[in-house]
Amino acid sequence: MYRYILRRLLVMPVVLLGVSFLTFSMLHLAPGNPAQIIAGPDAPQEVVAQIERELGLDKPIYVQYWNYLSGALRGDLGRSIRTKKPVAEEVLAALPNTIELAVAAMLIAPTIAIPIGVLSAARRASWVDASAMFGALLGISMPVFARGLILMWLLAFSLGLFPISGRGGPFWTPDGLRHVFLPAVTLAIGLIAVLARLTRSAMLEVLNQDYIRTARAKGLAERVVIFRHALKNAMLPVVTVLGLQLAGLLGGAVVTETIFSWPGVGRLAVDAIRTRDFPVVQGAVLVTSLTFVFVNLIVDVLYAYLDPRIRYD
Amino acid sequence: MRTRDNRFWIQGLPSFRLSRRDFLRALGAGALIGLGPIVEACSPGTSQPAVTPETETPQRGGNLTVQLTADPESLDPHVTTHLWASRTLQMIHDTLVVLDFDGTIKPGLAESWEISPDGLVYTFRLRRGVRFHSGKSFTAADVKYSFERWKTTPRSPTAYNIDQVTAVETPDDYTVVIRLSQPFVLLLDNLSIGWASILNREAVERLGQNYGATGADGTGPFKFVEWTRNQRLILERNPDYTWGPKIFSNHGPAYVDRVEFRIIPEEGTRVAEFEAGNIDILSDVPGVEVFRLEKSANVSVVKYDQLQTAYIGLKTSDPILRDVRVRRALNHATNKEEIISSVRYGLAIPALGVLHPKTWGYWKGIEQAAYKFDPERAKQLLEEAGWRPGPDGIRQKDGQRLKLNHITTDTQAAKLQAQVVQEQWRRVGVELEIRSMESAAFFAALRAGEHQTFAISVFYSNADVLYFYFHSRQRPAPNRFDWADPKTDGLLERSRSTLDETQRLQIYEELQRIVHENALWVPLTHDVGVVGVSRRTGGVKVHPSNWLYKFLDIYVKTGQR
Repeated sequence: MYRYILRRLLVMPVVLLGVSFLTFSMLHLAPGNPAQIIAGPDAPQEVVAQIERELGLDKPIYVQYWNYLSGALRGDLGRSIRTKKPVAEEVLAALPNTIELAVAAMLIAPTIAIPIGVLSAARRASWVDASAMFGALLGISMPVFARGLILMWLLAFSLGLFPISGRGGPFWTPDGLRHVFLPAVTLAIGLIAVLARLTRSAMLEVLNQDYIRTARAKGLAERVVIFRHALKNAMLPVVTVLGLQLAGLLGGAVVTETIFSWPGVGRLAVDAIRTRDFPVVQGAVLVTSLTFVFVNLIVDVLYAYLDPRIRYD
Repeated sequence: MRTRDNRFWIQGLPSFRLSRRDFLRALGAGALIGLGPIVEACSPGTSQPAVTPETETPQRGGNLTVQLTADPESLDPHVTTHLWASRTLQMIHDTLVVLDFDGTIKPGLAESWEISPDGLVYTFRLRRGVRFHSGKSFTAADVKYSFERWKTTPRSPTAYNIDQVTAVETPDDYTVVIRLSQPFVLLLDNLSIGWASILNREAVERLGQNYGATGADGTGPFKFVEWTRNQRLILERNPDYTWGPKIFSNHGPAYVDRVEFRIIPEEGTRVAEFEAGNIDILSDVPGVEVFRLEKSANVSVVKYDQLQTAYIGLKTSDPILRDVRVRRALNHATNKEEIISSVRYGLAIPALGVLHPKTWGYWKGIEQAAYKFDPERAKQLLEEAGWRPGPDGIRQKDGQRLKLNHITTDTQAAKLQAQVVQEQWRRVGVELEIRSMESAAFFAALRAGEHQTFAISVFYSNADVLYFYFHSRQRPAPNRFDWADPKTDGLLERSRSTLDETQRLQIYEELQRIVHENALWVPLTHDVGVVGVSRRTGGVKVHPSNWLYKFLDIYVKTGQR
């Protein structure tokens, strides 16, 4: 197992190199020039050219890429073209906010989704199942901005239970919790819908297995059959999806972050793309891919724990 | 279509709107990223200030919360052209001269000035007793340092505002002499803009690249406290400030203790925060919300004139558009009233020419000369130009269809406007192919000359917007009309060096006549600006080009939420 983890960690730099190369090429292929954006769309050509020289944008692309890479290897991600702040500082300021939001959504979603899925499977074709799955369908179908705005309007604006937008204090404070709640629930709803459906179908599959019939035949209580025998085996696909979703959330939930004015990595990256702030986009993508790769590794390790048949050595 | 979908949701959700930006920014994508000189470079223009109807005595104290749509890029005046940057950094820093609400130049840090008869030497007498936030006294050396930094900072995107300046001299601590290479009548205007702010050399050198990001030191009415990116920027009152320009009723210190700018990009969210009482000043009220908020008991909206023009640009070197009859026909085919009611929520007046009627130098003759909405006349002109109706109604000439591309930004309002114009022009037999793209790509496409027609809006503070757009040196951008005419160039150059105001007025009028007669563009609208103001906030007066400027007259009424 340790050798497997080590191997995966060794592959990581290759993945990151590939990601940085792709990001770099895509940014430079996209129309729109950062120097032009700094100078303003109507600025004289000389001014634009001067800013390009100053930023090193007049050099061949491979030179620019090399400069970026050698800087990154020394831990220097450069400075934002727009704000002049170090990129590392900008990304590391936004990352905890994104993690906070993602983790909050991750705590809410399975807590609600798994019991719903299990119940639907156990009471298959009952009204419980039908209404749970209808709710899930609704959750999947409703776009995130609509969910966000409806929750905001209902719980924050009309009832005044939560702040409308913005991030409060740290998440362990009551103020911080109140602020994170609505954006986290907005994200969680989509997850709940997916996870509940997934749990239900995984459970149904497991419940048809022979060993479940055996368990029932030897007179075990239905509760024990479902929770002790079936659930653990049904969790494998759920964990996979959960892991992928978490990794996705860490990349920033752009729409949710925008609606709730949440200063996370997603908004940072999108703003940077819009203004062609190359160093910030690179930095945000790099950090995001790093977390993505890590989370995937953790998920894979979890497999081995959940299913003794999976061995990596 | 998306537009329809979103509207459906709007109906379901009072007080929310899902499209991202209001029409102003939608059309002037430039406003988001800053337009450089034309947004803030100023001259004698005359606009009525908009004032909240208050007659109470202002109160001291209290915190003011102001919503911003985007994080200011930097508070360093020499590295950015960002609109919100210019607006916020003017609260921290001061300029030698200021632009009054009526468009005239008034004393700022300079008490008085003299201009030599040849227009080449400007001598400023500085105010005494002015201090930076750090406590250092303000002297002529700071002015010299700031202007030289503005001119020479390698990434200074606005340095061309003082291109004509050859030397800044300081005969004594309170006198500054500026020498020019050639007469430049807009110098004082350009010294009143935010980019001309006076900085403290020590602070700039101490903070290095972090100046304007982690701190700033000016002589302005507010001090930098804290800036959390994409969340909030906090400024507090400078208690020593007593040198406020006379254009405000309060000359300092400011009434409010603190100003907190909250960055809220999403329209629905900011309107909800505003109505919930968490925001005192809503920087841009979405057009669709204005009517409703106007009737609300808890808040008020302040409408103000701004020197702005939305237009459709025509590339005059294009094979089809080379014929002035076609360009005039497009002008006659455009129904501005329909655009105002369907895209602008009624918050605009039709634009007849380049300049807003309140701009100094506006040509009144345009009111008779302007191309009226007249589809029959448009058809007639197209016939004269040889374009005959084809089988599907679109005109043809020598087997070629009368088809033009139309490059626009990708906001809902910009797309909607494009569709309205597309339909209007189709009725006279012109096919418009809409290409909408996000703003960076939009400007890149225009710079590359991929357009035949395009839509945009421009904010300016004086008639120099004519030079900006129509001088042949300004190609490929902002002269995206590809207009190169020696007569126009000559007049434009004279407009910048003629000291006599009567002569200058004549030159501006002649220039507007040229642009009109050659139908270089289709002027659409002058849009009205709107800010939202909470009930507890008083003294809000919007400057036609500097927004809330120095926040000196704004106060918070105690005991009210």
